[in-house]
Amino acid sequence: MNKEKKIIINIDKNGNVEAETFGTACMAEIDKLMKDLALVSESTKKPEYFKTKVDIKTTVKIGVK
Amino acid sequence: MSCTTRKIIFEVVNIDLKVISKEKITECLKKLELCFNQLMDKLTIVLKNIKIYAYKNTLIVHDEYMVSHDLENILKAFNLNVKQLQGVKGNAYAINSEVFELLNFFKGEKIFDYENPKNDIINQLNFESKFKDLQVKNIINNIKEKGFITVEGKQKITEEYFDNDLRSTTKGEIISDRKAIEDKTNDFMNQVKNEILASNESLFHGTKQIIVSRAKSMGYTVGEVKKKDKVELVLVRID
Repeated sequence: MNKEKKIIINIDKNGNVEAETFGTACMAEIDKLMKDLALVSESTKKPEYFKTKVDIKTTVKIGVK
Repeated sequence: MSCTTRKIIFEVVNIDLKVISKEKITECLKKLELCFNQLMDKLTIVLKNIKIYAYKNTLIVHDEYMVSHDLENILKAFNLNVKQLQGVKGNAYAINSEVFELLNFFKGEKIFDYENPKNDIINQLNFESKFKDLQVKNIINNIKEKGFITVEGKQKITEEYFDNDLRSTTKGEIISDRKAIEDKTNDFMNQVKNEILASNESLFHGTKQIIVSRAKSMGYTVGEVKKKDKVELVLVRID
């Protein structure tokens, strides 16, 4: 069965980037997308993660390195 | 018989103008250096394993083995002037920016420390700088060094004689390019301010394009939703 990977990335004018993964997308994918761009990286697991273990909300800050 | 005579002389006088302060120029230079460093930091990310040359204020990037995905679009997203170069293996681009030009203008020295490209590449370079006004350059350099600029003016002096005896001297207004110089310098500084703002905005667009290009190369389809003061990228891939 085909699996969908979905990542939503929000970028604001100050260079803050917030990424949220859904489905089978994982942190490694976000790491690849943000490589060398991130200054600060932190990740929080949404409550759903503990039920489904699939959703991770990642907040990274990009901008002035 | 007595007589009154009036003699009009135009005397050349020097005026020291403080059109802008030395501190403002230093502050401007610092902001431009910050813009330049931020831009170069971001460019370094996409120019890994790519040969880089420089000629005057133009960077020449040569992606001989086409290792950088979507390079041209990323460079353009950073609001750089991009020109594809001919007659080379792979992709080569000449890139120039108002920030490069302005930094060189303010510093008065070369801003890149890369070797020159070959002549057949140099012959293809034809970026015209918007900032090449020698008068403004002279003003900036003088203020950087001395804190003011000296301009020549003419002052009308009227001497009144009574039977060849000087009775009075009246000094008139000094006529000079003062207003034109002040306007020109202020216009230039406004342009610099706008370029600094544009450069900050282009960092946002360039960074977004790096993420979009990476996502596409990883097999994601990318949708973009513009929100009030942010952009949302929706990346989807079916495995």
